[in-house]
Amino acid sequence: MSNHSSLQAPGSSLPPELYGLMSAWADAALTDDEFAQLDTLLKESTYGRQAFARYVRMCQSLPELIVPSFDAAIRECAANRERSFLHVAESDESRPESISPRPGHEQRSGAGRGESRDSWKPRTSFDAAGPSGLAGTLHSRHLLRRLARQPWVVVAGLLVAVLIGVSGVFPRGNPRAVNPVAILPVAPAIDAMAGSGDLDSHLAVVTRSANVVWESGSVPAEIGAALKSQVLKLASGTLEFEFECGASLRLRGPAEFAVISKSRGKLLFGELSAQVPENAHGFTIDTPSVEVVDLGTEFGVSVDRAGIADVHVFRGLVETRRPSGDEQPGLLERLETDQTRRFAPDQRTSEMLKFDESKYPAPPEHYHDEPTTRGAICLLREPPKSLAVGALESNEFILLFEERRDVQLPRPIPVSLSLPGRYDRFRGKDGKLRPPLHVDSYLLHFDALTTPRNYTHLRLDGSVTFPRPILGVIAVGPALSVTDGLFGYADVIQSDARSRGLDRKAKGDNLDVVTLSEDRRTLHVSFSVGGSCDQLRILIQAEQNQSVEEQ
Amino acid sequence: MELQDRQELFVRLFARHERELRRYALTLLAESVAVDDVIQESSVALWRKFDDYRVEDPFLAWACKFIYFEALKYRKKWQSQRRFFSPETFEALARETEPVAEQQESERLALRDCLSLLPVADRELVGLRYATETTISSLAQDTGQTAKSLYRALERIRRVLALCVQKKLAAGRNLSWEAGT
Repeated sequence: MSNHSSLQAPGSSLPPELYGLMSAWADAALTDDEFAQLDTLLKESTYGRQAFARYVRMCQSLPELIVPSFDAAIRECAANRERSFLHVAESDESRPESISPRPGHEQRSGAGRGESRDSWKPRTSFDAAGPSGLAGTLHSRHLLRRLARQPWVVVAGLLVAVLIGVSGVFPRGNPRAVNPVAILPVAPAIDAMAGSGDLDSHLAVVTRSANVVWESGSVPAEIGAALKSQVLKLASGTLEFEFECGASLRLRGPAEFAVISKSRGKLLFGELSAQVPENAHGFTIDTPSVEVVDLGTEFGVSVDRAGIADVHVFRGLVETRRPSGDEQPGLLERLETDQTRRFAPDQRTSEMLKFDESKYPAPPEHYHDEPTTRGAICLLREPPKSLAVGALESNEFILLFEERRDVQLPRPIPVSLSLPGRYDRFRGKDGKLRPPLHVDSYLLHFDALTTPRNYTHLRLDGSVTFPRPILGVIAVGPALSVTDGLFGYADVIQSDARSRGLDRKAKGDNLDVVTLSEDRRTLHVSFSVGGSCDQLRILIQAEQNQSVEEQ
Repeated sequence: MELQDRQELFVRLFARHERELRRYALTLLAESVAVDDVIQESSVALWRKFDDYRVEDPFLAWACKFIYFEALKYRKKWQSQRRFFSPETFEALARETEPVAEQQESERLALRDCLSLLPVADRELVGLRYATETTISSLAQDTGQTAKSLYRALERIRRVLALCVQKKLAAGRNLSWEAGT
């Protein structure tokens, strides 16, 4: 039986006209008479009401789910490439020596090392690819522009950018080798990327790195670096990163991992563990032989080079599914705490295994006294190497990290704000913290990846809640630079004073807004994109302080 | 529980279930423009009454009652200007279609599987219609097909998907039952 035949509609006892009416409702094309008819059908049939509710939910789910379907379409594309990163990663013999960094990445790094950010322009090599097959598949420029505005298209485009970057050209000769329909959603993304520069959707942030050695040819990702859809290739060491959805992964090399979306990645081989908070429910790890869908848990996945995947649940519940590109995708089984299963490609059943601790890194842990972040703020578990302008640019993430603990103030320290309230004007000396106070110091850093087109329209919001009260916040560049020696993490490279802090002369939409909560534990920030790095140094009461002393 | 903890709990619970609540509101009112208003009013009412909420109770079921009352108010307010289901249908839908989080997740996963089984051309059409939120008339212009043929194609695809989901859920229930025995 073909895949499609499995979708033949079974018999149904529903009124035959119900689906037609529901469909017209879904397309906002229901006349008043038809609406009355729908009402009558629903009034008379319990089964009809259940079907209507399911239909509503289905139509509402389609916009969310169609992204993974396009991901599958991209994989379909990938399967037709002579050398694509997904295909290559699953077939070790044919792995190329190196994979070129995605267009834009190396250029961004360059921008961070001296180029003016206003001179930023998207440079792509896609024009050179010039796949003649694409042109014939496109319906109109108008359609492409609309597609190009959709974020998923950009993500899809990024993936395909890698495919094209790697393979160089589309296959020729056999017209069936390239499925034009599968390419369709991808092509406008390329068009959009070449035309608009709206390339920089970041999906995750590197939060910790231990002894990482990168495979030759792969682009190293330092602590604090935002990740787009890209493949991470570790020769050895351990890398920890947090997806935008809140899921944290610890990846242990040798490993290859593809970041696919804000809540999805693929382990091509290697070992990882995941810690997924409740609000990231549904986070998915693909492997060549199984998909692991989180249902609120900590789990480990280990994939060997033959694509055999071992899955262990440390705590909670996961659902395992056949890969969506599989001939018979669907639910395999649910695994609970302490269960371990092995999944082999092309096999419908799993094998029970004894847990082998050495096959999975320990899940990323959270410490009892670490701050809780929300919104765009991401907590780094280690300080980054450089906070120079352009080093850690992202339009999606505001970075936070701990600088120093238990610093005893040697002298009165001026701060920009210390009392609860909303602030959109910042001075260097709004109050002073005085000795012998002990403080812990954190730095908040937002370096937007600006383009001339969207320069004034971007805002990012987030909040951070600390376990102890915030005593003061330093928000202006010179004060930040002056206090680096006292509070800053010693090895972090900082920008000069003029390029740091919040903009003191901003107006209207460009205002940076900081709000300190009444209990002084939560700081909410709303940053606009400005010409400099938005930075705040947050001084909280150290654990040993018994009382708060300030003025 | 301190105020901040309650605030955080509320935000967390509301955020987690907002999607289900929106769908419930849409089922009752059948009009997406009404959903935003009802959700907004419901969220305010929920927060005002949050002291009455007991953490051991399912939040979704508790919140659905607010959606129901806000939907009733909305109907009353806009009765003369907008079309709504009859009171009997509204009450029956409210009573019988309250969302269950686990069930909705199963539906979502089943739908994902069913989407992957669609022929590529059908999947593409669904993508154009939903991922880009394109109207049928614009889609017709863009694709060179008639609006009528697109309506028909989408009706067929949605029907196939709905029945596929239904079939998968039934199979899943049987599987769970077998596993439990």
